[in-house]
Amino acid sequence: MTILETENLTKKYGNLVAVDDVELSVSAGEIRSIIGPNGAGKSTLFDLITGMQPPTDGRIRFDGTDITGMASHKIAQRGMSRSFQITDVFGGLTALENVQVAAQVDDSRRSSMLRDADGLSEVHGKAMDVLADIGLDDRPHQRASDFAYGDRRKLEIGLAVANDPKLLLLDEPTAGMGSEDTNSTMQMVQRLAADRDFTVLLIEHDLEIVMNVSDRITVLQDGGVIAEGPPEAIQDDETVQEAYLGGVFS
Amino acid sequence: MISPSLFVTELLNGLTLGVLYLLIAAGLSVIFGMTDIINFAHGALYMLGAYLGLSVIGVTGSFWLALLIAPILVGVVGAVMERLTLHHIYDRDPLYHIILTFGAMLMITEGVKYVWGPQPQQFSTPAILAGTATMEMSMLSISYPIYKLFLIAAGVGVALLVWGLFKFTDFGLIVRAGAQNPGTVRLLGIDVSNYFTLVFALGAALAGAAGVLAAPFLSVSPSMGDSILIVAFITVVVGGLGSFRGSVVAAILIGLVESLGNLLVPELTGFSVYLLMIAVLLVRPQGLLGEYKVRQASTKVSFDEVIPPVRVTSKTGLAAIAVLMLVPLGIGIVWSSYYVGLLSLIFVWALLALSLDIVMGYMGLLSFGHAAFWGVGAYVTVLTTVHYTDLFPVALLLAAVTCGVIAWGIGALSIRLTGVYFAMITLAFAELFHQIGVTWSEVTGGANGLIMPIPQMFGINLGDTVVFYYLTLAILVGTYALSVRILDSPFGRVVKAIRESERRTASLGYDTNKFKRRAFALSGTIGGIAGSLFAGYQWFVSPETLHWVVSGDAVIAMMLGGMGTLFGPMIGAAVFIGISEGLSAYIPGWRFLLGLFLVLIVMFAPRGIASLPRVISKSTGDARSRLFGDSDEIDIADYEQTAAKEGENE
Ligand SMILES: Nc1ncnc2c1ncn2[C@@H]1O[C@H](COP(=O)(O)OP(=O)(O)OP(=O)(O)O)[C@@H](O)[C@H]1O
Ligand SMILES: [Mg+2]
Repeated sequence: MTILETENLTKKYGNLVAVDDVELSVSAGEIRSIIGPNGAGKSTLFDLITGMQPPTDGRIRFDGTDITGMASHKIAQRGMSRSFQITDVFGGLTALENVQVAAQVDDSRRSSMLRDADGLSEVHGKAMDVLADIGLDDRPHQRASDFAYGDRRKLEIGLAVANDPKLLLLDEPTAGMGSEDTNSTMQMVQRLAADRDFTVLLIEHDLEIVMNVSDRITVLQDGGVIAEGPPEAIQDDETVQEAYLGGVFS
Repeated sequence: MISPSLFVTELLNGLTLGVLYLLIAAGLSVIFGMTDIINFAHGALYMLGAYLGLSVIGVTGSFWLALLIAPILVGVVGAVMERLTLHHIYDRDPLYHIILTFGAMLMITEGVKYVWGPQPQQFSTPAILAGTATMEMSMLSISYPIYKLFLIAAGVGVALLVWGLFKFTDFGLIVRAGAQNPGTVRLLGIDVSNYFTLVFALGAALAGAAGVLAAPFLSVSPSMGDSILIVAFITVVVGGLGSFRGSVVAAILIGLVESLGNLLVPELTGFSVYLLMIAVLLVRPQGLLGEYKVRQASTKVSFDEVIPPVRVTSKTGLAAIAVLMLVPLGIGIVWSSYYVGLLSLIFVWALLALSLDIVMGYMGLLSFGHAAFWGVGAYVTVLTTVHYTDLFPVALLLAAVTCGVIAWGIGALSIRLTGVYFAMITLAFAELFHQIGVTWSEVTGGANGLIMPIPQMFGINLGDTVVFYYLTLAILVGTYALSVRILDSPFGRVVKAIRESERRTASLGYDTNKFKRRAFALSGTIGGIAGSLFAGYQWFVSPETLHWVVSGDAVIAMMLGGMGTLFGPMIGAAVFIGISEGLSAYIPGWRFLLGLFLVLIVMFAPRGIASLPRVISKSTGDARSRLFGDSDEIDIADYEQTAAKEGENE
């Protein structure tokens, strides 16, 4: 079953075509990676899919509905969640409060003014589970901005996972991490995807990781798709090697 | 029937006004373009320009020298202001910049009053430009003051000069690069930061030039900057912030709407500009020519530390309430009833500061228009008790509901505009209400205001100082407890999340605008209750309750006490009322000190009085660690653990 589909999706900034006629089709349950050099349009593609920017042209279907032009919070409510390339967690809130905000979004009492936020026990439980899954359950009451960089990156993912997405878009989750952290983070993502049963769309620069974790890979360059296929095929694809990999795999 | 001559005359009047607005708005957007700062002191700089011009003419007798020297002097004032203050805090949230320029505005205004006196002064038109030009054509017979024609030409000249400066010089190139990508330019280091000062000086000089140019046909007075600042804000919003072309178009448009509007629809005199603004907000919130890309940085309020509100049921809370409950018992023994009355006034102001903290400190929306709720709350209360019922609680309830609805409406219109836009828009909306209060005299009593019967309910005389004291205390405690509850609720969590990152909150599936509207309505409701009690306190209401000074005072009280703490703003209100009652009787220019105080707080204690215990314990801690050589980190870790424990206990 296809969970996400785009049709000649295009985004122009003036003369610059950041995303160029992209046709993407992601099946439910897969881990799909998007790779491409800096400025290829990967993050912009995410912005379009999540409704944070309106496309110049094209259509997006998610989970059976056309979501083109829908407000980003509406799209999120349908089960799409994302993390950001530049960490964007609620710095002034504690780790637990961070995930609680995300976890309470499906709760009928999410905009109640008179209840105690910590009194929603299912939300609290769900949030603690997420913290355990990302390995921050030992410091739930620490302010997010006081965590070390790597931990904030994990919280970034935790936030995106805590509202029970069907499709999770991760924008370079390991950006700026050392190789050890990178590996553990990717294992975490794989584990989360399996346990919580969501589809992953992953932007990642580390090609070794991409080859290991992905079911399929889409290669972007100058906003357009230049190749798509399973890791082995991408590894052997000559266009990709010329255009992007530049001999890394030769 | 309007004659063609009259029409053309009004057209020219509109152009004159438009050019004037353009000059002001140009300086404002030049400064904003590079520094992301909305300069609330801009109107005061304009006024300063007019006064300096006056003095230069007094000494030299030459208007032309005034037009040259006064702007330079104002530019210097701007540069000094930037160097001493803003220059050191560019990395802070824009809220602090706005509040700082607001403090500077108070200082400049009071300074001018001190030097030149508070009375309006005459600024004579230079001899060559005196008199009128006449034109006779078949249907037209116009005579128009030469000076205004000169103003149009001069304004166009200045605008061209600025445009050329930005287009063709290295200075302009760097500044434009800075506007495009402030981050990069900021990263380029010290050299570029000097450009910030220059840009500020340039913007200030433009304001000064506008002041000198305007002086001969508007009278020169210390308040001449207030109304023009609001119009400048409206110009920038209508034109689109950051678009110079937009400002030009909007300024001329507003000038024309004002003059022709008054001619064609005289009933709307004083309102046409606001109506134009609201129309533009509804149809094109990004402004006529603006792209409306709010930089992430220009919308943020964040704090270095979380200071949780003191709970009503905590020891401190209960003790404070107990002490306050005992106060009236000391009347005649320890103090007179005057002080009990003063405490009631403090409670009322505490409510207003509290309401402001909900939107500013917790949601990060900069409201400079809380006078609207204060004033409307007061008017609704007085009108209700005069015309319908003498039951004060009914009037209070009605005031609260009305203000909640108005806040919701303002929110619905302008909440899509975050950060600095929101500050300008709320200020403009409050001025709209002020205008209504002044103009609609059949209902509001105009500038004289309205007297209200002594408030009462069910036979209890609320006019009694002690009774009113307990009423305000009860409402304050109740509102505070409810606010603490609400900000700890699921709703409150989301509100705080929006303050930290609206984008992220939306991406989790929250309709952030809905939350913002509701929080703003909540804040407006509380502001309305405060206003209603204020009317009950003084048994009288006048347009002064709607004046922007009230909004500013509320911001000052909130900042003084400590934003984002709920209890801080209440302490701030106490200090503020204490200072104003204590100083205003003895020091005529006490608002100068208030402005200075505000600037110092922004610079050195941005979390106000609420953070003092921690600031002090930290500095003694520092002293100790210097003496005994223990490291700072241990202190911080300790503090975090206690904070975490406190969190668990609750
Ligand atoms: N808001 C914007 N306005 C104008 N141009 C933009 C905007 N956002 C992105 N671009 C441009 O679009 C192109 C694609 O940017 P994007 O951030 O999507 O690339 P990316 O593939 O995510 O790169 P990276 O690997 O560096 O994150 C770039 O050339 C960028 O400069
Ligand atoms: Mg990117």
